[in-house]
Amino acid sequence: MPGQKTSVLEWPYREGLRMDEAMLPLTLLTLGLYGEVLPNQNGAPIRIVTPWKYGFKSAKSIVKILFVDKQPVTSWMKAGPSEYGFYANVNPEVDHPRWSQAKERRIGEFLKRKTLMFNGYAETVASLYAGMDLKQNY
Amino acid sequence: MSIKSINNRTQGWIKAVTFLVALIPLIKLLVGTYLDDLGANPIEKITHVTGYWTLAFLLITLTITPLKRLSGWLWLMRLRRMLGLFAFFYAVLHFSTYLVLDQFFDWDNIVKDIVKRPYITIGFSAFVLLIPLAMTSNDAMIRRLGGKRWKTLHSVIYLCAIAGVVHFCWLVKKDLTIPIIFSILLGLLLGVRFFFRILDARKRKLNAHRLAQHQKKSPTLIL
Repeated sequence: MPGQKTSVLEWPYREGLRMDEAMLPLTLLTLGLYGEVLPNQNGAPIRIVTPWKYGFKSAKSIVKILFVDKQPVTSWMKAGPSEYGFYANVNPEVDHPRWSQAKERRIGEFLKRKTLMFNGYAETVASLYAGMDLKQNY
Repeated sequence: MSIKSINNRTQGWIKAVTFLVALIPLIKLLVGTYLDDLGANPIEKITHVTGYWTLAFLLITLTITPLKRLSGWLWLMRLRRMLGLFAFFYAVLHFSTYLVLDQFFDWDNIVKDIVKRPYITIGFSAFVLLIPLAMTSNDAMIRRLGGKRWKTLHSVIYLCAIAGVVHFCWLVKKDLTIPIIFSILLGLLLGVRFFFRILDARKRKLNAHRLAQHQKKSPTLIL
């Protein structure tokens, strides 16, 4: 993939999910986009899509899947542990250390709109994180 | 006519060409907006491009004085004001993009941003500090303030440039390459001034010493 020669992140790109997150019907191992075969720039031939998490959790062009007994350190956690956590659930109430995450601009819209908890999928996923401090588990 | 001392007509031409070249980033943005060719997040793109050129023009402005000294091209000084004003021009566009396109006058959020986000606090401060510099970048204001006071006021540009570069360093997600390049360039521009200052101080000391020596040898000169 383009950009992998830069040392911005530790390559290969690593992402992880808890098993209950991975087993959720909302979590898609996907081969397509808008009814077409997944283009290279969107992570062909196969990528994961986790719509209630920030984009970087939806890893592209997967080459290996491991089932491990400990929570792995993902590429972004390694790059900035105070800014990127394992969960990375969309959460308008908890700011990124340097910027707010309360609002978003959708492609094609001019005004920003309020970001919804879990990107609008609270009904489906909120129970997975019941009792967890989401400020700690960002 | 040598490159050191070019006539007024040529200077006018150089100024006009510089003016047009300095508008290229804006023209490219306008064309990109018109053609819908600014990527998936046009507003972010506009913010980044105007911010980048604000810093670039600040650094270019700071290059003029040392370059004049090294090259002896006095006419360079006649470009300095315009380049500084272009830095301010792009800063105004950058701030307006944030105010209108990004936040759409959400004052609550803007105040919160300025207070809470260090990169916005420092960037906003740099912008505010540029305002008096832009307002006094004309002959009338130089006359009113007097050269010395005007010069003191305008040394604030160093602060603005440092704050601007820090603003850039603090906002990038991970790839610090371009902010570091800007930092190094600014470091060089400030360093060369420091070097010239030491050089001048030494020269003054040496001259004073020579004068004293001379006076000792020929006391009749003192009248």
